[in-house]
This record gives sequence, structure tokens and C-alpha cells, in this order.
Amino acid sequence: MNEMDLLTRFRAEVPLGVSPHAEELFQAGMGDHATERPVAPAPRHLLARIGLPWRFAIAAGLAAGLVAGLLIAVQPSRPPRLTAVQPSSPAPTLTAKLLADRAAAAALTGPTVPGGQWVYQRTVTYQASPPAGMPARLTQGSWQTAEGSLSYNPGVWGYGADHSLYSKLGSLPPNPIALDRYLAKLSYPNANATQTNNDVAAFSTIEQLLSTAILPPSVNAELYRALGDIPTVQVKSHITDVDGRAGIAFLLPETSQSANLEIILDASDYSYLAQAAWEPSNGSPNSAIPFTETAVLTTTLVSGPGSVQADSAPPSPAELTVEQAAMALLNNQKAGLGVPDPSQWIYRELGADGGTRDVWARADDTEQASYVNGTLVTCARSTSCAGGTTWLVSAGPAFDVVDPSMRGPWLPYNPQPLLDKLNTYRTGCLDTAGYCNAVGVIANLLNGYADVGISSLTWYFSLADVPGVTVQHITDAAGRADLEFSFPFTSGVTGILFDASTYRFAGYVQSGAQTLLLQQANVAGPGVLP
Amino acid sequence: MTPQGLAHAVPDADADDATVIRLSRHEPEQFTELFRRHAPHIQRYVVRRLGTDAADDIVAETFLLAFRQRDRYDLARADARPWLYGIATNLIGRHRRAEIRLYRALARTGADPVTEPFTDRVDDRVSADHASRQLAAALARLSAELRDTMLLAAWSDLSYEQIAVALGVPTGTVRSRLSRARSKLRQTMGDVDPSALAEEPPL
Repeated sequence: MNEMDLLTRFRAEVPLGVSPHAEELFQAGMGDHATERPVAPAPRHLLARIGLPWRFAIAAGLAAGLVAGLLIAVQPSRPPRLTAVQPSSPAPTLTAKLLADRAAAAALTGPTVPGGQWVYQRTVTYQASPPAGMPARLTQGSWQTAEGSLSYNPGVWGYGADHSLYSKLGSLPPNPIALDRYLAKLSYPNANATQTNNDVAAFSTIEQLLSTAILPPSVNAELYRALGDIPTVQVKSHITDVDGRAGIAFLLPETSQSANLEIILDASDYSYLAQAAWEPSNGSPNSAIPFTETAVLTTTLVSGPGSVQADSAPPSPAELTVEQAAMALLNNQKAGLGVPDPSQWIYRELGADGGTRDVWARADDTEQASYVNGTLVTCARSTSCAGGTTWLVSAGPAFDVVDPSMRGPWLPYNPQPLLDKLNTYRTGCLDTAGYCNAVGVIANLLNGYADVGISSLTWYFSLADVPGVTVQHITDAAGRADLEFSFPFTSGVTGILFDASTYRFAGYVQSGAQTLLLQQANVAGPGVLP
Repeated sequence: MTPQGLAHAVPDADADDATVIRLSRHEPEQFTELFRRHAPHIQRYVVRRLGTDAADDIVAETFLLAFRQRDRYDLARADARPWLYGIATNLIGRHRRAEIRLYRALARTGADPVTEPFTDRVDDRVSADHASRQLAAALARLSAELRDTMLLAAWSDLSYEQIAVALGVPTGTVRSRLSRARSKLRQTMGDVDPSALAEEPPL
């Protein structure tokens, strides 16, 4: 028993569950919060809205005999930033509608990016008071598909920023005001919402779409127009974003429902730069949202997740299929398919050569059992019978390396480096330059290791990167509808089959013959049928 | 507490965490869904590290802190657990000496103070074996950052990339911390690593 097993046993001695007292404390804290926000706030004086640090800055400025026009806010935790302070008779500037029209016109000149195209985005996030241990300024790179359905951070797969939202944009309402109502309705589908509810919901939904998805130019333009038609939206000129770029912002002033929200555009070409949120403290430490801003530094079309090289070639059929598979696996993960313990026994019914075979194996394939001449024979890899056993994972990395539960050494995360690494294992095939070893190993892993969940998605994306891969619908020897990934190899594994609706592993093709996974279930031990 | 006239969008039971958080920005009540989903696991993690007495406050405070910071949550992260475990781990850090006392007590006496309240549920409990006591002693000696990383790995069900998010460090740092933590634990316990599957067994 190693330290990891011991720690697992330690945890097993504590029951899973939340204590009633913890829940009471949480509910009480939530209740306190609700009372902090009045439903209909009394009109507050401008200076009260600005908050203490600004108030001092303005007071100091007035004391020095300066007219409050433009001044640099000097809240110590915030980067220097030009902030327009409205004098009592403001000089007329750009209206929100005019800014919206300009942004929409600029958006229409943008590129059309096909759905499923991977996009690499680098952002910088500044937080005035970051959580303990986090830097105030954090630069990150991440990948997602243009329409925001899938996201990828090295090794971590997930849904995109709002995969459900984008799909609902298919039939846009015909005018900006209707679009605002439509977007608000997404957040408040059932009942009547207040005007403030609707404004905040429309603004923040548009903010999210603009910041994360690469939308068709016409949709982008419509979103900007809709922004201009939110009644309370204002324009804030002469600002810089956290990357120091000159910007102009749509501002939704603070309400009882939200902080001050800003969408910052480039001051010269009206392209999207950043989003920011801040709420002046009203004296309660719990109610203030210190200034936070996320700016997009670069956006690059790339060939796939993990790649940073610019590549605007549209996704191949294999890549689009893998993206469908990814969505299906993510959806299944939510249904609760977990990663089993490495020692879990798994029963498999395999079909090959017109017959079927029952195989019991531990999840990590370190021990296997099957019937030989009517007798159940169990063999561990470490014992002398191992040489005579047909292992499900005959070549490839150990389960420790594949299992996402943190044992090392680890495989590369990104699909292309992973493909290169897996190709270094020898499966006995000949087209090594064409990644035949990697394909053979991936077939082994899918066939022989228990579901390692979303981590296996990287294997799928690796398969889509194999040169010459094609995808076709087939009916397999068991009569099931499958998708076959075919590889142009002369030996070894030349095809991998996935169920055409669930995208789960269904079998593989070797030497022209199919080996099919007909049934798979966790069982108590060797010889036990589900 | 519910303001009159506000509409309430009810998140789908299968809406991801980011969707729940997004809705909660307009309707604070929605945030209780996040508590319902994740509090049981967070509680088990905190109880395992600090015992039942301290855990209730820390679990509630974790979710209340998260609630107050929800406008800053990166909605691109569908799964909120790294965020929540990160906050809980920070809060646990304020009780470092209490945590170390618990490990030392287990190491010294073989009785686990953390699980004592549950002993009636585990009738056949025996005092911890030699290896467990050695492990507890080794945990008490780990630096805070190695212990945080190791225990998130063992007790949170997060992947190492998610642990990196929780701790706000690069994934490479998580890997190297884990490897250092494990070798330190093994130095105490004796290396009992089971033979790993050979990388290239005969075909």
C-alpha cells in the first residue's frame, strides 16, 4: 500500500455530506447579503456613488481649485486610469447609439469564421484585490471553438463560454430592441422581469458573447446595435484598458442588481478590447466588487486545440467529428460516468471472427481472466503466465500515466505532442512515419483501460491529427451504426470505430478484421457476469 | 429576502456551474444551487484536514466568499470546483497549526481525532496501523504548499490542471510539488511503490 492508497483510505473514513450547521451558516450569510441591496435604491448623490477613494481624490482636486473635468483616480489598489467625471453640465459626447452604429459598421468588415474552427486567445486579467496567492495581473492563453461550444486549457476539456447561448442565436430578432428583449428573456424565461433585470441581463449576455465567441460579422453587428438600445447604457470616452490601449466604453451604471459593467472598444477602430466591472464600496466590505478587467491581447485562428500557430484552414471532417464526440462525452460526463479505481474488475464481451469472447480485466489491465477449455484462468502481468496472455493493452503507457488522478510521470497534454509520444511505443506495424504506432496504442488504450473520462478526449483529437485520416459511417459486423476513423496504413490497426450516436469506443480494425466491444460493465471480480 | 417583482430563472438541474454563477449575478438566490452541488465534497475535504468542529465555519465561509466574488468568476470554466477548493484551501491555511496538531495526535496515539465523531458508524474500527501513523507524521512535516498540493490531489478528485487553477500556480509547479511531496512521504514510510506496468511488454 503506497502513500496515495493510504491517503485514499484516510478520506474514506470521513462520510460525504454537508452538516446542517454549515448549511445554516451559509443560508444566514446569504440572507445578510440580500438585505444589503435595496430593491429600489434611494437616489444617491453622485459623490456617494463614486465611493470613498474617489471622493477623496475629487475633494482634493476641488480644494486645489481645479475644475473637476478629467482626473486620474488614485485608488491605491487600482492601476492609474483616466476616469471621466461628469461635470454638472456635461459636454455632449458620443451617444451610446452612435457608438453602437460605428461598432456595428466596423464589425461588418470582420472575417467570417466557420463553426468548429479553433481559436487561440491570450487575455490578461487584472484584479484590484485578487484572492490570496493569485497575482493581480494574470496573462493566460486558452483555446475554444469559434462558436464557443468547446474550450481547452492544456489537458482540460470543457464546454465553451456559453455553448447553449450561441445555438439560440440562430434566428435573430429583426431589430435591436427586440434582440435586447430576446437576450433578457434567456435569463428570465418564465416571468415578468423588471426593466433593470432586463437591462443587466441583456448587457451581460452581450458582453459575454463579444468577449468569448468569434461570431459571424452580421451577428456581431446586431449585438452592438442592441447594446446601443439598452436605455441606461452610457458612453465613457478617453479611457485606457489594462493593456494600455486607448479605448471607449459602453457603460451600464451600477444598479441594485449589478456592479458598473463596461465593454471597452478600441478608440480608433471600434474592435472589442476588454470588459470590466467595478462597484464602489458603500461601506460594507461585502458589497464592493473591486475593479476587475479582462482584456483580449491576441486572437489567432489555429489548426486545433493546443496549437498556437496561425492556421485559418477550415476544420476537416475528422476534426468536426471529434468535436461532436467531445460534446457527447462532456454531456455523458455530467450524467455521472466516473473514473473507476485502477483495481476495479471490468467485464467485456468482445466480438471477433464471427464469435464472441468474455474477458475480465482490472481497470488498469494489470490482471486478466478468461475461460480456457472451460476453466477460468486468471493471470497477473507480474506472474509467469503473463507471456501467454493476450493483453488488452499489449503496448502503450501504464495506466498510472494515463489515469487523470495525478500520478506521474505524465503524458504530454496537447494532441500533437501526445501523438508523437505515443508513436514511440512499438506495436509491430510498419508505417511508423505515418503514426501507425500511435494509432495502435490509442486503440489499445480505448479498448483496454477503463473509461478515464474527459482525459481520453485528447486521444480523440490526436486521431484527427493523423495525416490521411478519413471518417465514414459504417455498419459493423454486429449490425451497429458506427463511425470509422480510417488510416492509410498497410499493417497494424487501420481503423477505430465509435458508436455513431454516443461516440464511445466501439472497436477497431486490424488486418482487415473487426474486433468489437459488444458489452462492458464493472463487476465484482473475475468470472462474474453483469 | 426576495425583492418583489423579480423574475426567477431556475437553472436546469444539468446546467453547468458557470451557467448557475452567471444567473446568480442577477439573482443571488441561484447561488444556493452551487452550495447544494458541491458543499458535501468540500465539507468532507475540510473535515478530513481540520476535523468537524472547524469545518462548518470554513465550508460556509468558502461559499459566502465565492458568492461575493462571483462577478469575477471566469465563466469559461464550466466546473467551479477548482475555484471552490482553492478558496477552501486558503481558509484552511489560517488553521495550519491546528491541522498539524491533528496529524501529530494520530501519529502519536494511533487514534484519529478527525474520525472519532464517526466511530459509531464504523463499528469495526481499529487503531491506525503503523503505516498510517507514519504517514500522518510525514504529513505534519510537509511544508504548507506541498501539503496543500498533495492533499488536493488525494482528497479533492480534481485533475492536476484543476489543482493548478485552485492553487493559482502553473501545472508544472503542481507536478513538481507532487513529486517532491510523494518522495518526502516515501522517505518516511519506505518506498512501497507497486511494480508499474512495463511500458513495452512483449507483443
